[in-house]
Amino acid sequence: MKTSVLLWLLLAISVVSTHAQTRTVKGKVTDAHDGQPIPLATVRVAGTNKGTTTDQQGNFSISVEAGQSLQVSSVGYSPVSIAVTGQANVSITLGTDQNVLNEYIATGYTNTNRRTRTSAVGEVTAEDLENKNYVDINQALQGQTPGVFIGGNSGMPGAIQTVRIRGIGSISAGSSPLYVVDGVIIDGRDLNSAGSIGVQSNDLLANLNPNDVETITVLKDASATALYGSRGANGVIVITTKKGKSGVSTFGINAQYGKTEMTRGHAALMTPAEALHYDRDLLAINGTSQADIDAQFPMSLLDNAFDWSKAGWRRGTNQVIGVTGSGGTEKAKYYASGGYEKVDGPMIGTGMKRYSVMSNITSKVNNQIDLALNLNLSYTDYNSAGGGNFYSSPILGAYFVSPFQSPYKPDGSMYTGNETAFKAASKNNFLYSYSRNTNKLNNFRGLGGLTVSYTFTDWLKISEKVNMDLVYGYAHLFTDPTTHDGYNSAEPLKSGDIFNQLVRNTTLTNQLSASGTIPIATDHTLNYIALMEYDRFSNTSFGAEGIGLVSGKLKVLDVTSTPQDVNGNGTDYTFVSYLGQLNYNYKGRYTLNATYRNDGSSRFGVNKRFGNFYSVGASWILIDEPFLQSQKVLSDLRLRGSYGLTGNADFDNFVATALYAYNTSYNGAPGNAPSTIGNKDLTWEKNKAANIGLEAAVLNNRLKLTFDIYKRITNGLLMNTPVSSTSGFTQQQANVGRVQNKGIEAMLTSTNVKFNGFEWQTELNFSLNRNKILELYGGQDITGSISIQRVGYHVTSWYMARWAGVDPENGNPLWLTADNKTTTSLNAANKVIAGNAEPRYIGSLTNRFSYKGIGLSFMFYGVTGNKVLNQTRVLSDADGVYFGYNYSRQQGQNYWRQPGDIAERPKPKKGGNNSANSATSTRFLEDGQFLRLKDVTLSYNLPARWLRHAKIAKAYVFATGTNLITWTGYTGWDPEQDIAANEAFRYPPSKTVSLGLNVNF
Amino acid sequence: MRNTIIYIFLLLSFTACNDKLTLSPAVQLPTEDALTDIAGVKAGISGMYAGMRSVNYYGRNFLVIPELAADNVYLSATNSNRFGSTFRITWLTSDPDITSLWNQAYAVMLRANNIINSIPALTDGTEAEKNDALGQALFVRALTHFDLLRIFSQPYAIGGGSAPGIPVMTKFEVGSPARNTVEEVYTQIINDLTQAKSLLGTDAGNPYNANAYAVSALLARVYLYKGDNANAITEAAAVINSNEYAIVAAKDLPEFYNTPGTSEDIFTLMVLSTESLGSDDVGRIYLKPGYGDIRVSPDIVNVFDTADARYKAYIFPFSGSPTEYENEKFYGQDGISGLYSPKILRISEQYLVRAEANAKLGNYAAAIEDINAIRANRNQADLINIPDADVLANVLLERRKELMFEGHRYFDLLRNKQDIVRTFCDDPLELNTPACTYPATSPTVIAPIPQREIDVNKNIKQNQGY
Repeated sequence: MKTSVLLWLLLAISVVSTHAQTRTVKGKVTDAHDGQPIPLATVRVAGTNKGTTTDQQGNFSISVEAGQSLQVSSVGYSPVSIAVTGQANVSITLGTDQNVLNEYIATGYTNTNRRTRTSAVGEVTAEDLENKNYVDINQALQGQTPGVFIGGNSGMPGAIQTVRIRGIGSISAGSSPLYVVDGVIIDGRDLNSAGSIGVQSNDLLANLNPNDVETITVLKDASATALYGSRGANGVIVITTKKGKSGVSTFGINAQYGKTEMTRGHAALMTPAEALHYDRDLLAINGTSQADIDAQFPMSLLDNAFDWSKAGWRRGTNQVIGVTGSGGTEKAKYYASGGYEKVDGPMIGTGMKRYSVMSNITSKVNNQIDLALNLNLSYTDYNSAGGGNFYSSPILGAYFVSPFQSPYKPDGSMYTGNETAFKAASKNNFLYSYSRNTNKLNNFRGLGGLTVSYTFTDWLKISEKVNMDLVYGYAHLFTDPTTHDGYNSAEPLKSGDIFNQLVRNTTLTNQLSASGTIPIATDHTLNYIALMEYDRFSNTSFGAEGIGLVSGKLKVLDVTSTPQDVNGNGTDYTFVSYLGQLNYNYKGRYTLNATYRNDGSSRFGVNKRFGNFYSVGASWILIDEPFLQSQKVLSDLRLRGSYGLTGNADFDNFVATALYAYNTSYNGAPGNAPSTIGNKDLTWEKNKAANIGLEAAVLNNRLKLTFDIYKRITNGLLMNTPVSSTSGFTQQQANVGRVQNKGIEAMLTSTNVKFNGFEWQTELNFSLNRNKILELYGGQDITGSISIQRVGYHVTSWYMARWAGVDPENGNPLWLTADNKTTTSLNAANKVIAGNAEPRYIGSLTNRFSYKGIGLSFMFYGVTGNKVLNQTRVLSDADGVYFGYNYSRQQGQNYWRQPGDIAERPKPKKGGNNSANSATSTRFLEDGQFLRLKDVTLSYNLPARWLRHAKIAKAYVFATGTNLITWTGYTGWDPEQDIAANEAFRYPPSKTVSLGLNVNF
Repeated sequence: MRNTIIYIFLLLSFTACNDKLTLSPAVQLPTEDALTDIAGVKAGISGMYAGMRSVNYYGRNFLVIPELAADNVYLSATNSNRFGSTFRITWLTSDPDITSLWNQAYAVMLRANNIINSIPALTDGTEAEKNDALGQALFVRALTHFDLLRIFSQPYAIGGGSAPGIPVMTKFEVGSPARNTVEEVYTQIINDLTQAKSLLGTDAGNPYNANAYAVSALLARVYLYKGDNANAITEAAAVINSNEYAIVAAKDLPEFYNTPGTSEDIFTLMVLSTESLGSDDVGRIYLKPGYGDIRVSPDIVNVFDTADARYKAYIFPFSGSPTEYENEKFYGQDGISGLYSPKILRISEQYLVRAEANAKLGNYAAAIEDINAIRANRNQADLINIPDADVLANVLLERRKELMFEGHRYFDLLRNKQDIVRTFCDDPLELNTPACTYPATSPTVIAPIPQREIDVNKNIKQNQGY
């Protein structure tokens, strides 16, 4: 089959004849900066589809007719147009232009032409990623391209970011996009499974230095994602790192320093005086005599009062230092960088450090052989001081201690928390424990690959790529023997605890590809890539725990007296894939794109081990049509559409296999037993997606619009389905269920003012996504305590009893029953769907001003159409459930005191009022909409004449601020949530301001 | 030449990698690899028994349900919301206890089936090892079928052999099996046990794994339930006459249930102290501290002679409510409150089986002799001069006293067509019930097939009345 296609193509080539009588022009294209020839520059005859590229020496020859002009372009240079007026030799110089985008957009395995592409892709370039206050490039993507939701599950530096592209495509399998770095699929998950061991999970992408990234491409529709077959359904994020450029040698240093604070939104604790007033009032309302109140809560308590709300927080710092060097010749190019970043988070005891080095080297051995080496080593060190919802964490800990409890004893030393006199629900003095206990996580990542390419002709290049991704994660949990968590009162000699865990992940990838451009005839171009890929992931871990520490100073397992636990585990998966893509263009205006991928994976059942995925796309550049040549309004008009089938294979490695587990025993003898029913037919979730896109520009590209409308339906959702118990199991994972996402994305870019060196640009991003479950097993709801999956509704639907306020007569909490009557019993109330966690609308607005080297940009980002569960209030606004400890300020507002009060909060009682604080009612479900000044950056390019004497090519100073102002009605700590939108003592995102300097020599 | 090199390179790279797609996890083995050698099968045997320890089966519920659905105990008005439907005998088809019993018994049955079906393909192991493994697995397969049949089908004596039984499973299958008849299920059970008896050894030293005596003892019980009294006598006699077992002496009663592996034990499901289910251990549903939901009914207290060693050893005033009675049979093993290794088969029951079968066949003297063998060890005088017509009643009374709280009473009543009659009824101390008498022939005294099974298995028929 393949052979016959090639033969046909060869035939097609041989019958092509040159027909027009023209003359030949020869020329050379060079770099304006250094005079070096520019190879592979595109030379086209304007108004036709005739074109060629320059050779290695920058030479070209092309036939033209009289009066025609040549357009010359190359990646990274401003295009130039010259009229050919009789001369036989022309010399053309191209200048680099920072503002000119590449002609191609990286799609991982290959790239696609910006103008003729058939796919919906979003792009973020280095200037949006560099010099920001984000440690994780996922964060930097927020608001940069429509159709992408990004939210952190914690504000801890380096915490996991939830990313969803075009909605949520799955229920029980993963919905995160696939990550591709320099053409290789990498695992972006929380490989340390740190969540299970009490260390805040971290995002592996935080290991990548954002300053090393050249572009990030977000692949959204099937035309782009079908290249990734069974793993492309939830979108793909393609990261391309910086490469050296020939002829331009640079050496640069960058430094940044900033201050960071937590965002606290409308959340606040009562002051000790307010808390005392509340405690006394609660007793009074409940009939306690004045004398008893004075005895229990005397005003003198305020003498020992302490403001715990701010104790756990500080003004953190962030620091970045980096060096980069790049350059090269035609034969060899390099990019090398080293970076250091240190963030001391706004919560005491939290922070991260990152060390990274990267080198990208390419070498042209001869006209046929190219070599490319990418190497990226990084090491990160996180200290999480316990997740937010641990008793020892300053977030929950501040609520669980009495406001009339000083952390210091009368002699000035600190309470450990274990003292009987220490008034705290959790007996934890976090100010004592945070510096003594450690929750550390280190990640070492070595990501690198070698590519060898052999170019036979323009139409055949063979490339072989071998890539390794090694991630070592080391968790170190140390609990000091004197702290509350470490002290063992029953057996004091067993106080203190050390837990270590080492996780090793390796991914080996082998890619072999053939690609090229097949010259068919004038007006016809055909590009192809055929690729085979083998991808093997393997994970091994072991951990050990010991207790019994004499001192808090020695922190290795050898000093523990009693070994506790040793564990080890491992898992792996493989993918074997074949893929091909054909891209055909006619007259430069009409493009057809077809992609096919065959994936086999160890994750799938033996009966469904291989799957086929495909997409077709088309684009039409209307603006180049003759009938639009005469009009002056439109400067760009393009239409594109795509349809395809991709898959989602993001689920556990071995659910398809029937398994026996060895975790049981009988009468001391080890045993085994069936643990997984398996399903030989289990396979990927199938995602069918259609996309129509429009790109238009008016006023000579001053106003540009990109508009996409999409619909994707994921079939065969991986779900637990009930089976007859006579099988010995009750449930089996099977492919049932369907979910739909449809929406629109718009991006409007406008150059508002361009006058005398002053420029003002505005960019508006808007996305709307509607998610709906179309089918579930047997049409049955999947009900959780506060959520539900129901046909016809959003995947992230909240399912709660309806809060109906407070009975004015007696201050009792009320809920609504099915017939909309009030009830005082939460159990009698009926649950309804009460909104969804995923925002329906996401938008951002960026303005950029520049004038003579001064730049100012600010970005607003906001979401709406979602509900956030403010679960912190279950404890902090709980009508007296945690009586005598710290309360949220809102608990003291508008509560019922006496009959007739129209109050927002029920009558406060010790121990709470009839489950009024239950999270299963809509009482704490709040509107999640917000608008935030996400980013402000002011920069100044120092004038070259100042720098010349210091031999500095370029110097750039900037100030940047993140999350500076937020507008929201949400009463919790911060409205910006991950996709679960359930805030319970979460480390909030930070507000950061920093100053920086970049110098290039 | 160059082309050849490239061709070879391509060929190497594109070589089909199907074998690379077959992986298995680090802590689990694919089912087809788990039981391929005798070591794996032996582990399977352990896993099979371990499955029986589940709280939903012999870990607690299967010992409690047949007591609460009868007249030995009652559910306190103040309870932890457990077993209410069982006590009231008003099961919903979605009843969680009934559903999880069904699920767990079939899960254990799968473990047995996988062993049975893997033995012919074993590549190692001696004949003796294979026979031992196969015999134990057949025993457990028979036991699980029998337990399900007892709960979900009308007794043989009431519904007859053609009544709907339960689906017989002899291999792993995700399907929609219909219910076999009661007769067919009995045939399967008896065949399995008969085969197991020929495979297993007669070393009575280890009561924690089924041996040939355990098989005979279960077979005796099965025959008795089926009404095949002659065979019941044969099998019970085989166990009794082996002289491997002795009825526990009166003085040893107080610690008897806290001590696994006495001379009385024929088959005991061992629960090590490290395997305690905590508050879900059997004893804790009877005791305070613990749930303390289930109290001893005056109905059984009143049948005891106060000198009876069993009365003295096991029935006490309820802790914190002295007018009520507390069951202290399962007060704890290895110092762990409420922990109990269920004595699923013990020698006293075999005497009772033989006595009941003899009484039903008219061998009254033999019946009384067996009863007296037990009474001699319970500080009770021998029964003498019992009229023939009263022998069976005396046998059943002795059975009630001997086996109380061990999960027999409800089955014993129904299979003898005796109604469930609670004299102590409608008392404010207990959970209110819709009736004080439940006729043995009423279809709804039998538990419903779980709704989830009805939902997923189109061939299964619900019991009458649901």
